[in-house]
Amino acid sequence: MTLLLLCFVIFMLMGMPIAFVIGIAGFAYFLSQPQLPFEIAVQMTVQQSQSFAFLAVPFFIFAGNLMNVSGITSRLLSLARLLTRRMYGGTAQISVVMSTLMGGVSGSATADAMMETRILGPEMQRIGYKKGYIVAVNCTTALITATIPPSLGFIIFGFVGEVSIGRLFAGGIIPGILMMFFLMATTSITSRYHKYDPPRPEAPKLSLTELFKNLKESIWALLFPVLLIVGIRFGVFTPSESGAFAVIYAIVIGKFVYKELSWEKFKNALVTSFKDNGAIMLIIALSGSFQWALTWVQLPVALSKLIFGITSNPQLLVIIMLVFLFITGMFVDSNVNFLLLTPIFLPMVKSLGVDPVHFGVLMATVVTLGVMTPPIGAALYSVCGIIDCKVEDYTKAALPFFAAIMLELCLLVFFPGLVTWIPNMIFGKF
Amino acid sequence: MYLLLLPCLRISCIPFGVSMRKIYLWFCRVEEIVCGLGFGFLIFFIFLSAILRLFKLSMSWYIDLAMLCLAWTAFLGADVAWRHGQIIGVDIVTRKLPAKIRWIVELIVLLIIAATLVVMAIFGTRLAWTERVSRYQSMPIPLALVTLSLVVASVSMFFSTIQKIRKLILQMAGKGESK
Repeated sequence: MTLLLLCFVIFMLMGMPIAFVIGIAGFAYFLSQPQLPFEIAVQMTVQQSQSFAFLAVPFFIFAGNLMNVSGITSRLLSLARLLTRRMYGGTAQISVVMSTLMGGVSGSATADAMMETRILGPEMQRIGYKKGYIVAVNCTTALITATIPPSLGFIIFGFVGEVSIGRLFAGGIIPGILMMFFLMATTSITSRYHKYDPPRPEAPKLSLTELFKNLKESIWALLFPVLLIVGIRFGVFTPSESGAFAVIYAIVIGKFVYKELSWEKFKNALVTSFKDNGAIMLIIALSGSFQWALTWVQLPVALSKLIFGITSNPQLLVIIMLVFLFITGMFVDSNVNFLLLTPIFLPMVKSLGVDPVHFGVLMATVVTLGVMTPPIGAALYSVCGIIDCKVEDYTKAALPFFAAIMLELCLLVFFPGLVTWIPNMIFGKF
Repeated sequence: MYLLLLPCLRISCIPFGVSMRKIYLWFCRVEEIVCGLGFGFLIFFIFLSAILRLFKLSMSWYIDLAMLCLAWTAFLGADVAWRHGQIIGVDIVTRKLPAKIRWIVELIVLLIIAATLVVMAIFGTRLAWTERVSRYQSMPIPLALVTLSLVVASVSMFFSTIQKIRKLILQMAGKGESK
């Protein structure tokens, strides 16, 4: 176990890409054990790419990229603008509402955070928002996108933990909407405190005619998550197939309804998608030997003994795990966290009677939050890079948003019905 | 140190001479086209299998073919991402190091990665060789094709890594000269 963890830490500190860190650490363990043929390590790597559930990963990545170039995103943005134009911190509120609306068509927090910062960042800077605040709002609100179905985190958790992805998708609806309210309240309070973007008295009140006119335009995007859940529920498609459906849907809407999808845009979205997919799949594939080695050295057993030694109260145990995931999320890639820690934590919470869908939604939220927390976070660095913001400024401005998310998570821990009510209603009780 | 590395640099540049460079660029282009086509087929097969199932028609070979496409698209896509600098490490510690030491650490990391890729390609080939007789249940294609995707991608990533090493050494040598 020492060799495995030592390799992991040393390679990571040396700045090696995380996919190679876990891959090489796993391979090093295999090489150190003469009784383990090295071919198994290679076989594990190949096998990881042969999961039907993982098919949803490239599909939803591609669908998200297509939605951005097919005119769906711009229509959702205009709806978000309409809904928030008389609010305090109106432009920041657009980001919160936009993330919620995008949640129904995209599953990646990093992609959403980047897209919104590119669109809203310059406008927010012009109005007088500070860079740290701009990044904080656009980055943290992207967590809503990753919570509302479809969600890449749910797919990976569902695959690793063998939990129904359809149920997880349905379980993310209320927490996602709740997160929107928590973050809208935080945006309102913080923008009042900083005196950012007060409501303009000349902005006209939202009229029903205006709203319906806008809804008519964006209905195709808003309809998508509904079609997704209904399609999975009635067995029209499996969660993996729903990803292929999402791609076809985006192409049809972009080409024939909004008429904005050109061959050039399609090609660019395709190239971006297979690169994004390759980067994620490399981590997933190379984690195969590492996961196997972790089980071989019985780390899950040791860790569960340690945690059960602290408490056996289910809620307290879940909170301890979430804190642990929050800390590991600050340093380790979110996909790695899912792949390595789901097989350890899920059996523990199941043995205490915690609903796996409930835990899945909580875990996916905290692990995905890891891409936004300093010192290491994919979304954080990508978004800070876009408007050239210092990580320290971001961290300071993001603290109230992190606090709001934590508060929401506590609420979800003690009221599991908020997560499980919709999946139980749609798919029936476990 | 840099002077010692320069001869190695020349050796590593052999595959990237003028004509070799053209071949390499052509290979990169082919790789991207294969990835794009694989992605397209993947979506087509899975969407079609869902539609056919609605009409109670089961085509299990669609799924098998899609999984094969997934492996090739994923591994070759990983190389494209690696080549375009999309797969990066966390430099929270290394960025605080002096430039010379940082370059040496980067070089060591790239050399470890290159060595691992060679090992993966060798053992992958051995595994594919042992699997050469096994066929998919639904179609007369050897299962070894899946393993071969990892072998091809490992070789391809090895060359991308050599390119990165070459760039790094040139950067190191350039700095050394200017100093």
